[in-house]
Order: sequence, then structure tokens, then C-alpha cells
Amino acid sequence: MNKAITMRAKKLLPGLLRIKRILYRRLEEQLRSLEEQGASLKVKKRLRVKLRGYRNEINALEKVCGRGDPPVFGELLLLLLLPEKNSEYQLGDVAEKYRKLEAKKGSKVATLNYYGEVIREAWPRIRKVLWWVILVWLSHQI
Amino acid sequence: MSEPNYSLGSLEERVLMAVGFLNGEGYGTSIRQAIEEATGRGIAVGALYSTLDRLERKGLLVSWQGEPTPERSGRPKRYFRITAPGEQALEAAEAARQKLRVVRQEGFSPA
Repeated sequence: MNKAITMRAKKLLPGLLRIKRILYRRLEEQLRSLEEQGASLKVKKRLRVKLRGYRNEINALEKVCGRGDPPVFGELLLLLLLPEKNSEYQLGDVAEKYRKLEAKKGSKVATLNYYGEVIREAWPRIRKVLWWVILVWLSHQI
Repeated sequence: MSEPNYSLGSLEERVLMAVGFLNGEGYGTSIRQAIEEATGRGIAVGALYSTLDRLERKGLLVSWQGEPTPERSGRPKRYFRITAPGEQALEAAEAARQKLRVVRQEGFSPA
């Protein structure tokens, strides 16, 4: 029972990390705009303390979930393309490959490879659509 | 219990061989890597899992869920192990190939 709860909680951590990163970025923007407006020191200090808190939480979450995330848009596309039954395992496999490549060859190569995986997955559907387009075009020509 | 289905497609055979070779340590990434290294051709992750599911339905493989890990964005692994019928299916495929090799060497004579 406890193991099942831990497993479920661990599944939620990557999502939580993403939310924390978004909040951190928003807070950073807020602080920047306040500095431009010339806000009081007290307000800025309060925001900085909040920012530090978020940074610590993000660091702790990154220790569990890993640092470099695969591209969000690519992940979303894969989620739409892959059958629901195995999507968790498959996304995990592709994410693992992404991280290995990122460590070896950098994030650009890893991102390109990730989108390569997306195209590979989508190719049968793209091919089907292309055939239909060609057939419709041919029927209009005749 | 139903009789195991020993007929294997070429992709099924490759996947089953890789799972057998990895000896209980096989999961999506390692199986793909093993196939890529052996054949020089990659395999799409969706195609791999549909083949693995098919083999599991035939009773040639068993799978279980592993722990979620940080490098997989907190997602779990699905491990695979070949079963005794799986081993037999590989042996049957190998025997069929041997027979065909003999036929090719000796020539085909229809009865």
C-alpha cells in the first residue's frame, strides 16, 4: 500500500517541477518589472526571499526528476500519437534516450533526435494522409 | 491453457532474441539498442511496444513494472523476460531456417 502511494507520488513530481519552474520565471519577471518601476526595497526583498525559496524547491525536485527536460511540444505530440496503454513506458524510454544524448552531444542534437522519434512515430499516419492527397489530386486530374 | 503460438514474424523474432539475450534486464531502451546494434536498423518505439505486447499475448514473454527513475522524468520501466515457450519458439524458428538452408544447398525436389 505504502509502495503504491510512493509510486503515485513520484509520478506527480515531474509535473510539480514544471509548475515550480513556471512560477519561478513569473516571479523573476515580476521582480524585474518592479525594479524598473522603482519599487520599495521592502517589496523587492520579500520577492527575493520568495524566489530563493522556489529555487531551493526546484533544486530539490531536480535531484529526484533530473535536470534537462525533453521538449514539451515534442512530448505532447508523442502523447497524442502513442497508444495510451504503454505511453508512460514509451515516453520514459524516449526521455532516457534524450538525457543520454544531451549528456554526450548537447541539447540541440538531443532535441533534434527527440523530434526524429516523433516523426518516426507519426510517419505511418503522414504516409496515409499523403496517399489520400495524391489519390484525390489524381482523381481531379482525370 | 491454450497451445502457445510458435509462428513468429521477422520483427517478432528479432525482438524475442533481444529480450532473451538481455536475460531479464531488457526494457524498451535496452531492447531497441540491442536490435539497433545487431541489425544496424532502428525501430520506432511504438512498433517495439506493439510487438512486445503481441509476444506477451502469445505467452512468449512476461513483463513487470520497474521503479520510476529520475533520468526517465520519473516514469517507470517495463521489464521483459523470455518464457519457456518463447525459447521453444526461437528454437523452432532456427530449426525452420536450418531446414531451408539444407533445401537451398541440396535443391528442391517436389514429390
